[in-house]
Amino acid sequence: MFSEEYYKNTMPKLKRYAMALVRGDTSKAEDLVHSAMMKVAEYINKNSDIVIKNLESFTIRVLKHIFLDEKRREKDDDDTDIDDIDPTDETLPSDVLLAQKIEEAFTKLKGICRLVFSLQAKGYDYKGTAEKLEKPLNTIKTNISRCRKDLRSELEKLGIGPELNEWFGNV
Amino acid sequence: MSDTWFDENIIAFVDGELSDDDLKKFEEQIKKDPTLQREVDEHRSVARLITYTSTPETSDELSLARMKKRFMTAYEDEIGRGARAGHSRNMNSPLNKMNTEHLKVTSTKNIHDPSKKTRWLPYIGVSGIAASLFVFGFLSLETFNPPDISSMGTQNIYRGLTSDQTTLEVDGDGFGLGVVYVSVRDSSVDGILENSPFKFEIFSPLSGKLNIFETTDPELETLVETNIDVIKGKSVTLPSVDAFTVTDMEKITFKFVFTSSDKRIEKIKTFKVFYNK
Repeated sequence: MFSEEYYKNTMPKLKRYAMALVRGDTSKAEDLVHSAMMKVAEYINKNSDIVIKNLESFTIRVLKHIFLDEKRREKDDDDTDIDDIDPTDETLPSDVLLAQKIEEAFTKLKGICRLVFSLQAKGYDYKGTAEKLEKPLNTIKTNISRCRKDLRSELEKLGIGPELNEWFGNV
Repeated sequence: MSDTWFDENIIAFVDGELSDDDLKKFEEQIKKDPTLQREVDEHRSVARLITYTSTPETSDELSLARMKKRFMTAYEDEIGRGARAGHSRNMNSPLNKMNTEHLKVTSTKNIHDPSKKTRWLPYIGVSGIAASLFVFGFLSLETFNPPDISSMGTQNIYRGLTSDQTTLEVDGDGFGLGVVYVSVRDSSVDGILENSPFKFEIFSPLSGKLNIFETTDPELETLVETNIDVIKGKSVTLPSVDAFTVTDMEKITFKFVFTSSDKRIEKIKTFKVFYNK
């Protein structure tokens, strides 16, 4: 079984990442974490000679591939083999998506963008956001669309566009 | 179609806010248009990033315990046995944390299968039989010696029927624990049957919630009872429907965690299990 440290420190990070992929669906996120941990445990048992340099990073990337495989399956595409994941790669979403950079990108957004994102993060839908901000629904939709483009543009200026695709994109 | 139509539908698609009809139309549109697909992906990655940054870095304790328990159960069922039987374990592997001592069978009697993994589980399949045996009085207090209470201070362990609680003592914190068990004697073997069921009779030191973990091996801490409502000074019998079972362990440790809005009380109790010879 995994170490106690893994359960305490890594599992919350796996869940956080899974929550992002499934956009806040707790049940789906926990399913993803479970599948990833099972896959990694199975891999370790079968490949006792392979050294995984960073188990957290490896599990997160396995989790991402499981998620993408599910998406591909919807399109009848082939699955990824776990053997295609490099066990010596130690990168993590938190390494490339430095909180400092993200914060910097957010501060460059217009006030309305930060407000809309903050409400969306709290689970407000379009209608709820419109009511809360006392604005027409179409205005909110336009705001969300523009604000996401602006945020992406700011992140790209800070050099984390490709990583954004890698960790949070679908392909 | 206008840019606005696309923009609004892209975000509504990403946020799951399209109607069923519009969703089908939009999905067809995406299949035909790689540029649209790319724009959808870009919006989605930003939306996921926002969810990521707004999700707390640590999950709640209960969610983690639930995930851990689910994983460990599945691991034991799907991988653990095969791994123990067929693979030498890499000492650098996280899996080497499994304590194989945990798997030893202590009884020399033929009522235990040494190849079986050791664990205490909520009693599932034979609960009906146990309940029947309870009802029909197949109780034998001789087959199961009382758990060791030496490390439990003034705490008494009571063995007997759930209906007889008069001798159950409560400690200074208001915590009380009794073990109610049903050891079923089998005339064909000299000892207890496997899967002997038992329950806890617990007095709560506060009003709130109770979670029980089996922590015999700290590496394998398992949540066995979740979010039970308890009232200060009142007793609760757990599990309420089924029962825990003992398979082949000689020692077992449980952690009882009581929580209220402003207080948390944790009690750890270890029991020794003896087998009659």
